[in-house]
Amino acid sequence: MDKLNEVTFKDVSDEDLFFYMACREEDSSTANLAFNEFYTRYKNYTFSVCRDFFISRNRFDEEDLKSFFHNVFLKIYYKSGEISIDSSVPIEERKYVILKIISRYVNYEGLTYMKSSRDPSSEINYTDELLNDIPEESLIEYESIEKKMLNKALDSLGDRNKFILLDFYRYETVNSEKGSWTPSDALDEMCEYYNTTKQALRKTKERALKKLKDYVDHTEKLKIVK
Amino acid sequence: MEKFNKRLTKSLVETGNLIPSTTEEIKIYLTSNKLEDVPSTFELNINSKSERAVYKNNSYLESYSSTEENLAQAAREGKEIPDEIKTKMDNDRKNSNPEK
Repeated sequence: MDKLNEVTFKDVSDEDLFFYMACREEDSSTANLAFNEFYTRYKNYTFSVCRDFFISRNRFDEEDLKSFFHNVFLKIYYKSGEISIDSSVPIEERKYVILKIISRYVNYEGLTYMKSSRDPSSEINYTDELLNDIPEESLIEYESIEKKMLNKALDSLGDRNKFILLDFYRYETVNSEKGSWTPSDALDEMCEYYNTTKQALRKTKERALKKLKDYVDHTEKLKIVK
Repeated sequence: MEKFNKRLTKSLVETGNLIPSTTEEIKIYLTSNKLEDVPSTFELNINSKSERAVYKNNSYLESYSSTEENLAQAAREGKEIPDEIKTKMDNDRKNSNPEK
């Protein structure tokens, strides 16, 4: 890489990097440099969330994780022309907007990963519905569930129920107009993957959530008594 | 349940079970998790890799079937167990005890 370009791209904003990547047809070398800079800035976050996604699904295959990581960046590169950052977002908060975008692509690559278990070359189309903005919810004030207790509670559900519950948390969005909803593409993939109906999936989620709550409530009460 | 839901969401993000999707969740994730450096074998370059990677080891399908769910649902609703499910149960039983 040319030293001058390297220095120049380090000072380029994320928005401009997206712009250069989007212009890859006209200037592929600049697009590649922009991509390399974007990759350098966000590779550790992306890798960490991709790794966590695999761990949460009890998948420990390094080769597939590597492919997953690659596909997330590739998708961002080819979708760069559709990514925009609201100019009203304060500069110090813009980094989080990029991380949100990355998280979103990781989640939806997760759907492709599900789909690929039936057809290795299949891919999910990222529709507008899937890419809707997720409203902010305040969580800071809520007390965390102790990590060890949470893991035991999740394990008590069994793999299938645990994965279904986590998938609903991944793909369900609280939207003021629609209430709590899951994009239909995501639900369809879940039905195919778990070989069941939407209604059965929702019931499994409700039962798993109740079981989890009962486990946590009971264990926390026991701790108080002790 | 609403309060528990938020506690659970926060805790799932903290433990890496849920990919953070809002600014607040990302802040919680970054505080609770140390970002791992990308292993050198994972490094990618858009020049050399311009096509999607295919998942090679994802042929695994969960072995569970919908039988259990159908049975539970039938029991809750007081319905008869469908014939096809009875047949499947019989087959499963035979397969799990081939000597009998």
